[in-house]
Amino acid sequence: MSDEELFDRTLREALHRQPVIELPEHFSDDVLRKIERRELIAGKVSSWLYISLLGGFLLSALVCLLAFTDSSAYSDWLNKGAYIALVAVLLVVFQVIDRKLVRKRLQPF
Amino acid sequence: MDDQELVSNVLSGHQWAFRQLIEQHKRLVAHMISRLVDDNRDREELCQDVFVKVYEKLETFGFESKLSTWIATIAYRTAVSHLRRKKRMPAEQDLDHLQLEWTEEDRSVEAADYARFVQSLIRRMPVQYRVVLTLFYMEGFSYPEIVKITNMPEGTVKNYLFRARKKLKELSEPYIGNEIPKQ
Repeated sequence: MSDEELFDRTLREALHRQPVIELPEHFSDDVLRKIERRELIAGKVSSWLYISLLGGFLLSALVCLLAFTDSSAYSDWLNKGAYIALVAVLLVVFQVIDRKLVRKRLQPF
Repeated sequence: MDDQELVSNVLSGHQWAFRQLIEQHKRLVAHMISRLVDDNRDREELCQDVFVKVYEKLETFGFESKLSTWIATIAYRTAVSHLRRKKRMPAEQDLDHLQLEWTEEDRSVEAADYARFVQSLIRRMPVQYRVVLTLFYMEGFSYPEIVKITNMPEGTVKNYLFRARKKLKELSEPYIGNEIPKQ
């Protein structure tokens, strides 16, 4: 064995004996707990974002309705239930998006 | 179970698969973090952060490299950004001008055990040399893998490794010399 090889072997052995931190037995539990905590916080943040977006959207719709619709036509529209149906459809769409995209992504294990 | 199967089980939401991934790679992550971060209080927290990032980014892992290389990359970057945040990331240091000093007491204890002596020398080296030595000798990564993990050019990796070995040899010879076991 040459001096170079001998040195390499000794160096490798020395490095292998180098102490590293001992991770506790429950390390994987700690990691999973941390992930769940982060997911929970992310879930709360996105819920607030979702509620704010929905609220903002409905508010804008109401402002548009009041600003651009002939006031004499309100009763006709309301009678037909068109606005109620529109709002219902929007809610269903938001629910579908929430279930399919948002909640699925936030589900920890 | 191979890496591909393991990753696909984690992505399917199986907790046991992620636990297995952690068990398989926690030694590697602990080595990486220990080499870069001196503060004991931060090390375990950083190891946890590495696996949280692994979990969050696993979807983006496309098997362009081994899973261990990818996890080592995350560990390296997590440690480097921690050092930067704490403003403890030393500027690129020149190994030739580095003062490797230790007390007489250290020397006498360490000289009695070559492994401990080498360890104490490595601890005093600049971070980038420690990382390259760890990845090459302890984890057995190849040059291209070390390049991928550290984002250093291959020439730089080879240069660091060459100079670190040379320096270690040079510093240990006066004290250890003939004590290196010959076969």
